[in-house]
Amino acid sequence: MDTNISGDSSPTRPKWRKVAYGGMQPGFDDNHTDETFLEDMVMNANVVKRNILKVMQDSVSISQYLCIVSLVVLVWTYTLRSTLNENSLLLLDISLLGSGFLILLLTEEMLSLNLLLHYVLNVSFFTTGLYVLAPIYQTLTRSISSDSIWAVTVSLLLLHLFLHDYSGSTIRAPGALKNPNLTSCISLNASIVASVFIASRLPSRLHVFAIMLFSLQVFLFAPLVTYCIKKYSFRLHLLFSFGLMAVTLAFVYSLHCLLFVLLVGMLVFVNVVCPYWLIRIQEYKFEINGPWDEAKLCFDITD
Amino acid sequence: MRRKCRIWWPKPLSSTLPSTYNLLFGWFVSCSSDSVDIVVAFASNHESSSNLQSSFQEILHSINGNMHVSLQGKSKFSLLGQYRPCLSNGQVFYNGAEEDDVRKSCAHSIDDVSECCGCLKLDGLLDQCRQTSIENDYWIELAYDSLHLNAWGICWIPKLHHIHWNREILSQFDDHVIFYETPTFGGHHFSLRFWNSSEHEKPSLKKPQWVDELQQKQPLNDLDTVILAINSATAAKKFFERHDGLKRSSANIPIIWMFCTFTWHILAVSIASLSTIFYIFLQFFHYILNFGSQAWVYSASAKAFSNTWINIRIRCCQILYWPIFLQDNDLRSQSSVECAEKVALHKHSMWSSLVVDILLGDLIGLALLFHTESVCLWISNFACNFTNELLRSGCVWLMGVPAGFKLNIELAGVLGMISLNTIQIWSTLWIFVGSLFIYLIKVLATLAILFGLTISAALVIDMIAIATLHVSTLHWLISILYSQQLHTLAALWRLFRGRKWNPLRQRLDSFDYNVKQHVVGSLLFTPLLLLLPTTSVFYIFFTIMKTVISLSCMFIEVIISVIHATPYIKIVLRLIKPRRFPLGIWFESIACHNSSSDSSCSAHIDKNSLPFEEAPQREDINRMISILHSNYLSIGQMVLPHYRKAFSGVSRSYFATSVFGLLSGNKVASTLGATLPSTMPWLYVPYKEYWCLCRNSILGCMVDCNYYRCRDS
Repeated sequence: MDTNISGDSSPTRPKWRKVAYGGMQPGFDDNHTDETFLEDMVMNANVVKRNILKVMQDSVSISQYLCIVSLVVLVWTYTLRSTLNENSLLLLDISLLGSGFLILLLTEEMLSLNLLLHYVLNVSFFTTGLYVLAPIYQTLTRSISSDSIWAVTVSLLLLHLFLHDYSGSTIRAPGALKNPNLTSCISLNASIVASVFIASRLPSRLHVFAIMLFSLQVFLFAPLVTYCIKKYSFRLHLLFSFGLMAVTLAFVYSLHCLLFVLLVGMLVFVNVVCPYWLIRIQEYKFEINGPWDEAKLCFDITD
Repeated sequence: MRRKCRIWWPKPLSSTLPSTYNLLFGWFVSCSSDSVDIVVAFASNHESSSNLQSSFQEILHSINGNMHVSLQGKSKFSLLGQYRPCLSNGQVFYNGAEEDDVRKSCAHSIDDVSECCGCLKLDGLLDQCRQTSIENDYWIELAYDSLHLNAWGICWIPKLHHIHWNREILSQFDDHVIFYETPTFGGHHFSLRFWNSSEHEKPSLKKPQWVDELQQKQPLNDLDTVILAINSATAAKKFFERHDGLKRSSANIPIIWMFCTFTWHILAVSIASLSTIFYIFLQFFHYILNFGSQAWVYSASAKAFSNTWINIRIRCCQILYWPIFLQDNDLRSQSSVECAEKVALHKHSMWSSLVVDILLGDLIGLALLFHTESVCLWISNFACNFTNELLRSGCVWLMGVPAGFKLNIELAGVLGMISLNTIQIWSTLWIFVGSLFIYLIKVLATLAILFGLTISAALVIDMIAIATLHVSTLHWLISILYSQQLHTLAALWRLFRGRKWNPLRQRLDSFDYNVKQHVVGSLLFTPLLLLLPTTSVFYIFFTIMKTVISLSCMFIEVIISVIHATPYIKIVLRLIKPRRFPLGIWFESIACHNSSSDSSCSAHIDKNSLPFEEAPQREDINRMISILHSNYLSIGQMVLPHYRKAFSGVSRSYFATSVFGLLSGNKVASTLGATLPSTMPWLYVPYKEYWCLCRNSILGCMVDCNYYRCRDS
């Protein structure tokens, strides 16, 4: 029964109160609502208003990482075809290591000898371990056919790309707040296993060592380096990304036309189509919040 | 509610017509207020019993004291009542008078209630006995019907005239007469259940509630006590006759008897001497061993030859203890025939097992001694084939492309070379042993002849285990590798899922590993996973080899357990005289008569005597007549519980767990775990005393034999 129906409500019937206790209020239905219903509702409170340019700029990180992965695949292909021999690979490794360290040194604010020593120690352990394991990896998949290896590698790389953490880096600089979550670890594992599979196809021990070192360097440290560059200066980051994309496209073009077209399509899709699509869909976003929501505990407030 | 009486009547009492009235002795067994079982043990002549008047109660008390404990608890041996002759026309003779006269005389003496029932007058102490029985519990008066059931050898049937039941006199009741053959030791007896079944009740399926309620209800009859009483009837009669002074003279011809005794003595002396020779040897052996027990050689050889050691121990105990078991002369003091039979079987169990084992050992040992050369040749050929065809070729095959599996060449090469080198080293070592092999076979045969088959078989098991030590070692190594690989793979897989095993709570917890652990984990996971086929192929090969060897050892072990566990005496006795092994009872119903209808329900009666036409005149009772029979054990039923006890360690899930263990890399079980007879502590007795012990136990057997034989004749 609504209160609007009869202007002269009986004096004995109390006014409807919006309370959670007390049971049924006499004269009113159990699902009675009055005019203050949904007064406190807030719509789209937490939705970020996006700008298409900003989104496109942010999507550059994804396409940058895509290009890095394609460069790795390129190196693998050239090595498997014996275009790159082991010495050039080793040279590549060392140069990458050196440049990575340089960029870290230049962009990191707080740097100490301790930290550097820590990094150097880790890298040396890592390299020694790989050198020891290389003979085992060399003959690991001799009994498996090449097609199976390539199928497994491609699927593992796809898994890696899907689960990758594009916002930050799995290997954080020491002093980072959060631990890497499980999906980023799984993507790392997938990439390592894929590189092991490819490495086991190579003819000699040194080949195996070199390619493993290269793959692992890129997969482990490239996110860290790009993260540092992005933090340092956004313009440098954009410049670096475009340069990388150009180099990648050039190399892929020289390798195979179809792959080039595929890569171009991917880049365009990621950089142009997806941001536009996101902005278009954003209009339909309708979030409601109200006093009925669970209380959220705020740990991150800094006073 | 009519009361029910069951009269358990010995058949020998009914085989001849009685002339005078007799006293009945036996037991009253009752466990409910409506029914009573009257077990008649024997009957004694009135006149002869009057000699015992002075000490009648003491005699009954002493006989009761000799009975089985559980029988003493449930029912007391007592004078049951009396029975008097009755002519076929149903009239009762009472010192010449007719029955109506008795009733007339009863009617006049109203004070003396006890005479109105028609009880016979007894004189003196017996009458006092009767009065006390009437006061306390029960007293019966039986008449009899002369009925010729020639098919069963029954001349007349007891008819319960009336019964004094807790100071009431009852003439109306339901009556069931059950004839039984008196059980004797060496003849037959009755038994309700299998001897071992009460101890090894397996808790089987859950019983529904009404079964438990049923078991809580008062049982209507106590068949256990009744059968125990029946089994003790002969002993009670024997005790009574001993008090009565009746001596039974043995009608043996003295010359044959003396010849038998002489033979027994010769047998006893020879067996005792042989046994003492073995005893001396064993004591010497034990003495030497006590010296060497500290040396490491002793403990090493004890572990290597463990099977032989255990069987030697068992054999020594058997040789030491067989006269002690045989001497157990509780036989004659057992009142129940069932218990006496059990004791007798237990007495003879040890020496029969020893003798059969030695006989088998003699057979096989002699065969082995005559064919030493060919056996030696066959075994060396077999060993050669095993090593070359199976092991070596197997390893080489695995190093290549076995069954189309493409293995990792390096790892397969390493494992294969290790195995081949081990096999080579081992066969080089065994060339030296090969020259001694023929002496080994001769030693084996001699041991079998002297000490029995089981020791030689155990020695064979240990020799096989030692000879295939290389296969065992290789299997052990490869199973360590395989199981560790499997465990590591499981742990790394858990790492990829972000989980960790909690050994305290036995469950998987979620856990955040750091990046280094993830990297190392994925670097290790790939080679372990891809090398698993190679390892598992080698593991399967060596497991098959080891399992074949273990199965053959287990087979010999099963044979040894079977030889130890088979009850030879029981089998022999069962073949000679199956009546000594009863299992359960059944009642053969001869005739039954309802008071409601005049006709009798069964047609097994002779046409000559028709007692039942006169019966319904004054009695209003339901009568039934049956004969008690026994079912007999088959050999399988007798022997199977022994085997089940011996192999009780092997359960259903044994095979499932062992297969699962094999798949996950655990050790292959090499023994079945069958139980052998337990060993007893060593006997330190002077030689002369041991010789006397052996001889006396065998002579004790002779005395028992004569006792039971002359008692039956």
